[in-house]
Amino acid sequence: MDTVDTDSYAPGRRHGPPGGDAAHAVTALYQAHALGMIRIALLMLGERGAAEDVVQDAFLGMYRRWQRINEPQKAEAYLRSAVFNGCRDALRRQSRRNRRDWVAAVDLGEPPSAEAVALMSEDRRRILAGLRLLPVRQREALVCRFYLELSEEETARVMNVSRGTVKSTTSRAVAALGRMFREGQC
Amino acid sequence: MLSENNDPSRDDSWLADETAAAMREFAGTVTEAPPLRLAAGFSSAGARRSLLGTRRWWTWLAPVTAATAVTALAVGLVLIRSMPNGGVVPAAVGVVPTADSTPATASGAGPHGVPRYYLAIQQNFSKPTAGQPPVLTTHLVVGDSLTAKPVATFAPPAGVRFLDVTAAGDDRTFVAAGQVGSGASATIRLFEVRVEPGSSHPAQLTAMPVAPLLVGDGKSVDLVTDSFPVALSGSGTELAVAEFSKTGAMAVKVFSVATGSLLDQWTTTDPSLSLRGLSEAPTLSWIDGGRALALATLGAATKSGADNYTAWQTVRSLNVDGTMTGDLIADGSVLRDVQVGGAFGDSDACGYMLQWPPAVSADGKTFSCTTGAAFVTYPLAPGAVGTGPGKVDLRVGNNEFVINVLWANTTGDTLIATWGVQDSNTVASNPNTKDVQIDVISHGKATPLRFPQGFQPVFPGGVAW
Repeated sequence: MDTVDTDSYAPGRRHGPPGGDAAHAVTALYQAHALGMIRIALLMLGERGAAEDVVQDAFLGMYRRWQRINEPQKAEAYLRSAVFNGCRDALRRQSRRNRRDWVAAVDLGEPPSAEAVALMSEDRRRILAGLRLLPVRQREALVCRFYLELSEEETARVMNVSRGTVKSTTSRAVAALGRMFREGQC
Repeated sequence: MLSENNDPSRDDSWLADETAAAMREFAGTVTEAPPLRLAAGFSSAGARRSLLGTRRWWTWLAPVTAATAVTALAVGLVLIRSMPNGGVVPAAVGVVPTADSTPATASGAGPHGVPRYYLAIQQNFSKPTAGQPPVLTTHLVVGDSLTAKPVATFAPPAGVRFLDVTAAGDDRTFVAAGQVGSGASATIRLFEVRVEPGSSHPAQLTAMPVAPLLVGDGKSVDLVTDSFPVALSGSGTELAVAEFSKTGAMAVKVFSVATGSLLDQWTTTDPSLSLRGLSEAPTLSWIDGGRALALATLGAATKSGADNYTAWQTVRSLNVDGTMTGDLIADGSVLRDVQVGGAFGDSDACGYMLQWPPAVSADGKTFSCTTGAAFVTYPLAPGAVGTGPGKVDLRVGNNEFVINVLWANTTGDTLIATWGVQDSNTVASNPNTKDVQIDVISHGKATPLRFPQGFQPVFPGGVAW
């Protein structure tokens, strides 16, 4: 599975406002992939509204850049990269707003979408709470490896890191989750 | 209730399966996608709304605030303490009758020439219980930068959540602003903290005789519930605040610390200086030997292109002449008015998002801020955009950093700043030492300050030297 540079530029292609073809193509992609992308963003952000915003942004970005995308067949990979990038940006902004609540971020174990997880088992609720406390790259690694079931190689491409980094990041993430679980931090 | 999986003897391998299952279950709660919107000029308004206007807190934060508010009670005039020496402190207000020109380190200078004593807000959240949000409480810590030891700790008066602190130039006088209540009924109370090292009561906290201040319209409260700008004059005799009326309009007021009487005020209904016209809380600084105030504001962001946003960063000076009333726009002199911005997350804006607030030096000549990974000092002059001396890059590795300027000396060539690695939705302290990382930035070097064990990270406005 390949990723596409979201800033890729094809010199030989036309660069102008996206037209009807782009709208049709992106709409079709949205119908095929939006739900999956929102789910990825939900796991990253923990809030459905924010997840939908990020995904809308990703598709809008694709629409605007449609004529600059080298390989439309890699659209799904492009979108996934855009969604992960969007989630990082959203979390960065969230961090700014929440910096006055560092203690909460450290101590809090309650996932934000309490309603959505109300029916889950206690263990899984706690795991989701712990997931939210992980560094964003560790969270990405777990989403790629355990939710998307990507290989280490595929995950490395999505995260733009080496395969070894994927392995170590995933390992650290699981270890951190286990530690938080045992110590009652989540 | 603890799970059987808390058993430390269990291998973490079960977590892989459980994590995958939990993620699938959680992701499965989304069963449909909203319609795609490709309208011309559309931007994901939702994604930006928290940036342009109200802030989207994690959903549990709202109940936290509410819970704090529910427990709010009337503030007593007498305060509070859990000082090392114990004993009840009388509610007398101590005022230091020094001149406005008092140097920043009047006595007993701390390391690297910074003031020795500081006042910091510390936060605590109760552990969440099933179905119940955590409860946020705050307390104050007076610390000694020289010895790294705490001098005193003050529990909050009933119902008070401390928001901002400020320090005088005498290294002994501080003021803390605390919010009481929430929404339309929220008000701000002010408390003076006096440090008297070596005395039987090394620090005391008293309620200031200032009537409760306003914190906005009860709706756009995020800005002010996060921050209430206060600035104590170098002499410690006057306190400036930026208040928002119930309609969201701004007023800058100067009070006598000793009597609580209003000495000066400027108001404006200019929408760019209303609660809804600002993207971040304004900041106040005393300049020109205590004869003027510098009001720094960051206007609401304006979209520019697909992903770029700009905002006006403005610094106005206001002469404190005791005329009692004035128009903030007409009476203010613009010292800096620069359009800043870029893509969200860019590190070159120096004043946007992660970089706010700035520190204006007491001589009124420099404006120091962070670019997210470095520090930049600008000459405080209309239109000045060039970087000045003192740039220090703290970036290490490939981690993302959040850095905030907490304090500037009189000339702006020495700063105190905090920094940390940005991890998902939080900012960790120094990941190497696990300590709070607050450095003195001077002459191109960053030198860590020491703090008591257990000291929590601080935010701009949450600590004062």
